Amino acid sequence: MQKEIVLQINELKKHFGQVRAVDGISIEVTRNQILGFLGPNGSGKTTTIGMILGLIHPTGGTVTLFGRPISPTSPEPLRKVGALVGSPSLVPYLSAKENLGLAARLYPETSQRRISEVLDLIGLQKSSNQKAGTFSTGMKQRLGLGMALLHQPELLILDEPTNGMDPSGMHEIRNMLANLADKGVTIFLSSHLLHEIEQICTHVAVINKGRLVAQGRVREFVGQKAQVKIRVDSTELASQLLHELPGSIHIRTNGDYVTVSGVSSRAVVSHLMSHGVIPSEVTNGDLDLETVFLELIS
Amino acid sequence: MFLNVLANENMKLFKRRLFWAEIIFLGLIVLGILLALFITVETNRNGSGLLSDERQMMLETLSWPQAWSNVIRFVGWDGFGPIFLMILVGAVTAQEYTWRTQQLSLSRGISRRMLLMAKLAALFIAGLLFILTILVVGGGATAIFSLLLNGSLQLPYLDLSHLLFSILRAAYTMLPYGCLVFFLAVASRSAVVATGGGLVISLMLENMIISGAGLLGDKASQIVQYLPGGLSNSLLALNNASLGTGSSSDMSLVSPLHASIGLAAWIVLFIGLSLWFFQRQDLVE
Repeated sequence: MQKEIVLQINELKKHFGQVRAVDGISIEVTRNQILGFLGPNGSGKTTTIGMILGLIHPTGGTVTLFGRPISPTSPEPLRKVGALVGSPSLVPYLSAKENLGLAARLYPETSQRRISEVLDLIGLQKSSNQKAGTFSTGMKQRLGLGMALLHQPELLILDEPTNGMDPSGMHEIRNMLANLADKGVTIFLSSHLLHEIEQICTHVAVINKGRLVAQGRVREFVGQKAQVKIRVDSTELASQLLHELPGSIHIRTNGDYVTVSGVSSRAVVSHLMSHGVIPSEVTNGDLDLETVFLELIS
Repeated sequence: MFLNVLANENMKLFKRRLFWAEIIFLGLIVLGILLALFITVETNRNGSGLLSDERQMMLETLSWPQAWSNVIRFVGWDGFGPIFLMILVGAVTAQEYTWRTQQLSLSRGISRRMLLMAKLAALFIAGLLFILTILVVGGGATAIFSLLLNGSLQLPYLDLSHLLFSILRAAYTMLPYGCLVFFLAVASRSAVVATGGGLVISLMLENMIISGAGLLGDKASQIVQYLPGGLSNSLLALNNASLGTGSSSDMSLVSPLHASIGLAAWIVLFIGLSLWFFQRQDLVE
């Protein structure tokens, strides 16, 4: 059975004068997917999310949410979406509870009990009467996340949700997102933290310089290419020699080790040995997301 | 849904310290001016420092029903009301861009048009509260001064329907300037540009244009009467006439009907421009 497409981005473009911030990207997110949206700073992630949420006018292309097109002039499909874009949009002189109240009023079916539930969920029950402007970055992120979750959205769009959080806060958010995914919430998660994406997401899309460079299942992504880790006396010489190998390979050095991807271990070892470099240790393994990401954007 | 969005905008507005600070300051200014006049009149009871005509004029200014004319003047386009409204509108509207609080509604499927109209409505309510402050403080103070100076409020001479229409006319002349600053705040996203621009236009630029046009001849003078200030003057001339403190037969003024329509046109223009800009803006940095 074909899964329902929750979010469809088709040839989406945003040009600011000569700058092509987003240049024709197409992404599809089906129900229950957790899509990690990756890209270096300035790659167009936040601009893309802004266009999905109707906050930015696309130069071209379309965004469809739950089968209905969305634009700044027709934002109705966003009613089923919860979003946190960059630093949360909070009213600093209102308390956490009042900020949640603002969001709740836009969904009249939201009860006071739900506000209390969300305060518990984001761990701000004790600070509920404290003004949002006095919160730390992590607390603001939590409140922003709470506002996004308040109306129990079907699609959650999060841009760097763990920004400014300490490791335990990040861990809590990761667990919260995993629980939400278990409950059937579709998540579109933009993050710099590749380890986080690798742990939470089912799918990943990588954007660089406004263009989509790869997308697919996380497992396929990290498992499609193997990496070879070798220990040599001279990593510099080994690197030089390995660059002579044909094809698109990625080489990293770390101490006595050289990590190579995009080529088989047999080819690596035989090439080095033919030039008199004998590896003292050879390890084969799958690539982690970080390596794949660096390879994709390089 | 509009009422819910409006309730949010009201909550944001009425929880702001700036709003209440302005209300208190506005009340104190009105009270201070009237109190200063009262003290001047009282200390010159025997005509020691003031000419009798001057004292008589001040006495009338503080005595009901004529006192209402002056109280209402605080509300009108050349009074304090619009200045306070412009400061509030500029600060509140532009700061939403800094805090990105429009996203709260827009990313939840609220249309830009509805959000903008709710913001405007909330600011109009704030404007009404400014007017109410002026009327309560000014009306209350002059009531007390009237009793102290004349021993009565002379209520039989107070024409309530004229008073009501005068208040409405004065309140109406505030709107173009509120809308102008709203438009400047939306277009520039800056409180300084919006409030500063609004104040410069209303307090200086308009007067300079009117003076300059006077040098260019009658035709130019007549044309500049259609600026918000000229139209407001024309409309408020009716207040003076109705409250017995002036004449509305000045030939350089636009007819009250045309003035009302002209002011409505300015209001619609500024709201339309605000909407046009807001609809086209990208709201993520």
